[in-house]
Amino acid sequence: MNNVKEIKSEKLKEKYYEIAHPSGLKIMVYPKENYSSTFVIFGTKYGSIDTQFRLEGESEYTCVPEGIAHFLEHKLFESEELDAFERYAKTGASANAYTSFDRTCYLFSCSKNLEANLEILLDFVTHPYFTEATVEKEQGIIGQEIKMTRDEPAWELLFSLLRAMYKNHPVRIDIAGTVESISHITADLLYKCYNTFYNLSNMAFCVVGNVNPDDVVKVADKALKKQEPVKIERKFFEEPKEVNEEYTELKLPVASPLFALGFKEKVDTPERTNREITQSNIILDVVCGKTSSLYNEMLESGLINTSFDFEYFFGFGYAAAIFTGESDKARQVKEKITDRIKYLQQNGIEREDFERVRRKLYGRAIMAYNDVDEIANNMIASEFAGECVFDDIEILESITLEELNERLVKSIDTECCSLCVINPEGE
Amino acid sequence: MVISPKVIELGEKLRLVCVPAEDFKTSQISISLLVPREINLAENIIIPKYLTYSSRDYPNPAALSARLENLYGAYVSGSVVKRGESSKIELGATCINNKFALYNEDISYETLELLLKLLFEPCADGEKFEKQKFELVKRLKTEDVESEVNDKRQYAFTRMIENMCRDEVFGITKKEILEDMRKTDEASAYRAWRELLQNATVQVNLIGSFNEENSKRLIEKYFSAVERKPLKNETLFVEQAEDVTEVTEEMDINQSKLVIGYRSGMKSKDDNFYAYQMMVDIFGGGPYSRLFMNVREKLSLCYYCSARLYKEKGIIVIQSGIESENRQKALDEIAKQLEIMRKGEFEEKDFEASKTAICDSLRGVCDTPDGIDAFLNTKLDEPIIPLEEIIKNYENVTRQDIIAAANAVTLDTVYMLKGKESGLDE
Repeated sequence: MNNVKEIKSEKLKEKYYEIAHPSGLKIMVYPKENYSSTFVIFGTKYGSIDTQFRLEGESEYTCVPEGIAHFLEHKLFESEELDAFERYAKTGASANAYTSFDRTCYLFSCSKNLEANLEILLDFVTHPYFTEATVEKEQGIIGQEIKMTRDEPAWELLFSLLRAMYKNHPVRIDIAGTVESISHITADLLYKCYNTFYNLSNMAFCVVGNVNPDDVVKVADKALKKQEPVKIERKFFEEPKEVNEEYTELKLPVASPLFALGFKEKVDTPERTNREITQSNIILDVVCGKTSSLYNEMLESGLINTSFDFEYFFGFGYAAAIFTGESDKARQVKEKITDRIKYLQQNGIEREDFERVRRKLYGRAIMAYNDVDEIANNMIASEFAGECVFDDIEILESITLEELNERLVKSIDTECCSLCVINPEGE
Repeated sequence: MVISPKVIELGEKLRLVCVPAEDFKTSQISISLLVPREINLAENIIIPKYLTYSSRDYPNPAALSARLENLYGAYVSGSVVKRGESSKIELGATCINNKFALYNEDISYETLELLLKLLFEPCADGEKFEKQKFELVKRLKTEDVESEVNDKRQYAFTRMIENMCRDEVFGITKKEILEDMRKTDEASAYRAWRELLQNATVQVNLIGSFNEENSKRLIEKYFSAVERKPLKNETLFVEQAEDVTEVTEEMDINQSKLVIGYRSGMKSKDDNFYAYQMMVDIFGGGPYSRLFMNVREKLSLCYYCSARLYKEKGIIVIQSGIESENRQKALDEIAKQLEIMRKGEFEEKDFEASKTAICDSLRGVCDTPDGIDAFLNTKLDEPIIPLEEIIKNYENVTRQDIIAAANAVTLDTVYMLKGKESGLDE
């Protein structure tokens, strides 16, 4: 095969193969020596934020109901004959799917019958079958899924923070939509979304574990027909630099008050590079990681407890530094974190702090290559971001304190910040 | 991955399990201590958090976390879980495989040493833990326990168990536990920690790149200072429910949580285990199960409806999230599906699907250090048998075994956490 490229990392002692399949699908095969199982993802770069889009040549944007990407994920498992789960039941694979803000992934893991399972996955994802009757049936099931997540305080907290930070960007809508929004979904709309985003040129296929590239290509040759690539235009939502609301509050049956604090980053280009992501991860760890003076001070004084956490949150057209935890003095937490960021922006990050966090992230980057599940998910994410999964470890080596300090000033504006609080009921 | 665990007995109910594995990027350590639940229950909940908060050599969290960063971002954790009517206290650590060390350090040995220091050298004066630190950790742990109510599924599950097993050690309530935690102090916790080291059934798992001899010597050195008096861990198995208890509680939530508890009929955790496990899987395990296919797919009543066997206590629990007005419909369908299991009217393909899926996933268990560790920890107080043997045991289960298991099951408790209003305001 002349369309196979080997991608290697000397530092990680890992490699995988990238195959430009004639059908138009990019296939990645990552053999793990001595592993018994294989983890497979068939993903499309299509998620809950893709609410308005058009194909090249179309004049109007198509506007679809919130939650349709997730709905489509559910429906794709069905077919006119045996549905996907019934087919997997014969092979023993453990199959599932998920929809996030910017991708939909169909996956399975197995330790036997790999070829048969690959065939099932490639087949059902490329053969949609929707009718009004099956759409209606799913509305009941997904309605319950929506209600379930609405009983999860952490989920409610994240989305109230996103609504507070973002005025226009669809990252502010719930991934599964609402009971109301999904009631507008029809079979026709599902086909429209399917035909746009499930084009092989917008998808990727990733196989990790007990596998060799030839096995995968053989099945793909049989299962996939050549597709003309499409060019999808996602609507880029103009988002002001400022947050939508600085403070919001709601009441839920929780044990003690929860908070989420988000610093909204001004983004000029839709996607963050691996380098920017790594920089931000280091910065946040320096600001309030477990070794930091700020974290320990807040913990000892009772301002936070060990549920405190932070993450660099990003995707197509949005990025933010988010801090969450339990506290009955959320405004004080916000003040402390803001002060610390301002201090570091003025005085710079200390070299010692930078080096210890870098060393830790080096270890964590290596740890990410144990689990076939984690590797496959990271590969799909990197692929859709247009980068290589092995880059992280090289970036960690070459990153400098100077660029960190620069990014710290550029990426966090302490004025563009939202605080959301969930209070226990009856207070 | 094919593994060859080596079991080294270091004393009565004290053993080391070594699993050499060079294909992983990490090495993993766990130290499990199993003790009867009712002894020092509250203290044993706080202890793992206290031990992993700081220690003599790393007297505050910042010092400990700096040490972990120095070990290339190694993780340590301390936890306690209920296992039958025992508490399993566990300290665990994960670090990168030695071959990725930048300066040839023996990271796995250093991490093992750190973990042993956390277990054996807490901040204490010989009679009690440090008061100020203990009070802080006690507050943190109390908040952890209190905030479990935030997870409504878990909360409903816990309330069902508390009702179903109200006269058993297994059913000691969260409220009682919090009350007991309030009464603990730095002296009682220190005593409990000493007793834990003396009384527990202990297993140390080393998975990855370890020098076996050096590791063994280090572990022995620490345990040699303890006067070991291991206690027996026992769990009461109630074979049959006497009558059905129905409990409904209200909370301001969007979706009602239905939790149903059954007595399996098992007399001990190994009694016909493979047949029970498969029966529960066909009934309410994977997407091929009766509950998924009917309660969810056919009737559209829910997003999840699944059954699980808790072998350490011999009970089966079904969980589902539904509209409150659909309670009876769901109960009827669940009862109908159990009846199908009892009469042996489930299809041959369901039976085969379950067997194939269970065996398939077991073959992949050893592909992560976590999977190996979890597998070894299901065998704390018993011989470790090879996975192939377990797979064979599943393969040998017959339809008749399944039917017999289903017929021994009795309904004990129906619990519902009812949402105050039906429907969202949208």
